[in-house]
Amino acid sequence: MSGFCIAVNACKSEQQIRYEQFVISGKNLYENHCANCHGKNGEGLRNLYPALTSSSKLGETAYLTCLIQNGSTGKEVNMPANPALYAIDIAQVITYLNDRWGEKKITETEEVAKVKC
Amino acid sequence: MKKAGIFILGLFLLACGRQNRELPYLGPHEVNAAGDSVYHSIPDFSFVNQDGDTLTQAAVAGKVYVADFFFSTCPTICPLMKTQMLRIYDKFKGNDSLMILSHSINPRYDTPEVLKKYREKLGVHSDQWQFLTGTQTDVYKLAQNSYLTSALEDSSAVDEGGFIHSGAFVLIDKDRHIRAIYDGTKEKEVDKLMADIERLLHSR
Repeated sequence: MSGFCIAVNACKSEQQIRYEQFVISGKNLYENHCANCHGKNGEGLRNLYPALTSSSKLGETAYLTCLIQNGSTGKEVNMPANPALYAIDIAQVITYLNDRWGEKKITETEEVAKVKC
Repeated sequence: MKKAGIFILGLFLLACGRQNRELPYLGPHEVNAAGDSVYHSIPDFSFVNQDGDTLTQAAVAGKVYVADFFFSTCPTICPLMKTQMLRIYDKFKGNDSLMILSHSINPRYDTPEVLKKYREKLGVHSDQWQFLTGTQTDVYKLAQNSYLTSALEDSSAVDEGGFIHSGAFVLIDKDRHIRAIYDGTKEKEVDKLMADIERLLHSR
């Protein structure tokens, strides 16, 4: 059985391994920076904090990057900015969000870094 | 003889069991002139609720209640606390003998209008759960001296939103005595709190 696992793992492409690394790091970041309000399972909190599970914005990298980086004001409930997160962190968070509730594909650091907010 | 021994052992066990189920009285105890223990109790208070009405100790007279301290823009533990408080609210909704008092520790921002919206967004409509604001001095004094928990403004606590406060849920009995304090961010602690509420509701 373990031999089989090793064999399967060995077959994983480098890309697949990198994707999984992004998802795992993204999960940690999500739990530290996002889960308090949006919930461990993206369920949100009633009408106070939006659920992420059925968001139509998960594919919009530029929108998500600016939202995570700068937060949002002007609505009744503000979202705090996350100045401590680098482009790679944001890319990992977005990859994680999509892994769980969107399309299972990596969001590259470069895609995030080139976004102008 | 043997039977009597078992009977006495049984009495002991019964007594111990009772004692374990009784919640303690928290806070400083004093002994009055008659030699009786006087337990710490919540003094009279006056705050403004989400509707702009004044709310005093009269609102909780003869009731069991849970008190906590939060602010509406708190990004750290407040959402966890409110998630757990909603469990209590949902469980005891319709039972007027149980109330919840949530005190804002940022009254400059959390006006009655802000609290009203916050409460609506949480889906809370019953008078059983009141959101209170007042002067900052009053609310900090209340937290520290009356409810034995902490609330402070600290501009260096950037990640916490500028305030430091505990995530405590304080359980008060019908006679305004503190009977237990729980970590309001933990599901298991709140399970215990809900069981203890039942116990207090059914006592005397």
